Amino acid sequence: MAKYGMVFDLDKCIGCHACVMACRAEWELPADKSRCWVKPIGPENTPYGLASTFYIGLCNQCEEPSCVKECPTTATYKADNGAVLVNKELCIGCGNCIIACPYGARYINEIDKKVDKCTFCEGRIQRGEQPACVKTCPTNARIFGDLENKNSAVYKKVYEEGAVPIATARVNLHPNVFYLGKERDIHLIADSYAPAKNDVSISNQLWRIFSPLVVGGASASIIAAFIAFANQIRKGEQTEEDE
Amino acid sequence: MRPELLIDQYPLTEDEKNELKSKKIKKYKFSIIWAHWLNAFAWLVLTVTGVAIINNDKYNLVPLGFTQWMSSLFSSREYLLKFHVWLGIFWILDLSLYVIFGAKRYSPDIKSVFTIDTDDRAWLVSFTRKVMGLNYTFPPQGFLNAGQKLVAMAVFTMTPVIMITGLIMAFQLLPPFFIRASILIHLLAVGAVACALPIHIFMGGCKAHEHESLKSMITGYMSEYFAYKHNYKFWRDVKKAALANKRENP
Repeated sequence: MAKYGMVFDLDKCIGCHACVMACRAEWELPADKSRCWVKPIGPENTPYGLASTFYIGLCNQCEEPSCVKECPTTATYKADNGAVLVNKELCIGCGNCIIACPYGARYINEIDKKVDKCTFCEGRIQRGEQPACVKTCPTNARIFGDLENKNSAVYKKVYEEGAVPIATARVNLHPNVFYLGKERDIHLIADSYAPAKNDVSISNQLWRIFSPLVVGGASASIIAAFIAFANQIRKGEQTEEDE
Repeated sequence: MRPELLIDQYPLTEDEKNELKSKKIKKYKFSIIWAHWLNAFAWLVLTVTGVAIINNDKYNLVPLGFTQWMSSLFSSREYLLKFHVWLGIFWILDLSLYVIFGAKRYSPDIKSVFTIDTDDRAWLVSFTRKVMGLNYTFPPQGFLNAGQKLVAMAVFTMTPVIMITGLIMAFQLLPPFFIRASILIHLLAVGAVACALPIHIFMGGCKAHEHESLKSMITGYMSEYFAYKHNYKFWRDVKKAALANKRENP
């Protein structure tokens, strides 16, 4: 089974947003939503000089996705091919995964009220095609492929040309999306859009406090009923007159 | 029958006991029995399927092996969730009929459930003393004893909460913040009742001298003797009403 990843070549991106449009068209998304984005940043001073680039982004398909850990119904899961997917039939639109995602790669699709995100164009890659954004990019700034195939372009970009993920020492979920380009541009993206702390929603935090109390209370009640029943059997059934 | 029996719960003579044991008194209407057992069935199945939906090792309520077994029982997690949702909707629709058509008829009963009088308080103290192995005397009780009232209170209060939060989650009726809050409130409301239900099931279904209580929830009838002993005020009111009726229509 392939393990898919994507590389963005920042030097080639011209900020045309064709990828965003292709994504919307492919998945029939609401006009104001997209599973990927292109944001111009800079010019700004960095330790490596003045930088100006485009922050190209989508779900980082992390190896240790915090969104999966926070989904109560396991609607969000890590597929064998490395993509993090959402089973819409199990999703209840609670948004715990949106809070947990440090890259802001998830949103509620207003059409079906469920969580939506990049799937690396699941259906397309199953048919052996490239994701819509990759196929559309006029400058080939997006490279998609199998990270475990040494002959793939994406493997070479990551392991030979030094593409890097956007992660910090504090938040490193081992993304499968990488950035290639000038050091100053990558620094600018990492500085401006460093992954936020992968948060846990207040309701999930409270759940962890209250659920043991609920389970404990119900269990204690069941045990008490069983003990009373066992005592009744041990003593022999009482008649009304015995009471 | 001694007239003073209609004034207070005096000890019965053997003849009176035998006479009351031979007579039946109607306690529950069919509609109440139907609602009770439908509610019981829905509670059992919805609780079991509900806990199995939470299949995350950080938040699961029961061992993951059970949640996975339940998923395979329903062939997939999607069907498990769908079953939970649609059984919940059936439950809501059925109980809604009671609210729509029975609100007027049952409102006095519901009001009495939420009224804890001196005898009820004394019953709860006696029950606690009994559990602790101390001396106790149960005061006369009405249609429901204080323990049954507490369970009914929990069920009547929490059921609408469970239904509303369930609908919010199932159909994404509100923004995500409220869906997240609904998950938590749903858990707490179910938990509040789940803590009371095992005791209720034991007291009503398994306790040796309470068999008539269970029978009455199946047939609608219990012996007058049982009613006299356990629901004296209810028995007295029925008898008084019967006497008044007899006087008016001799």
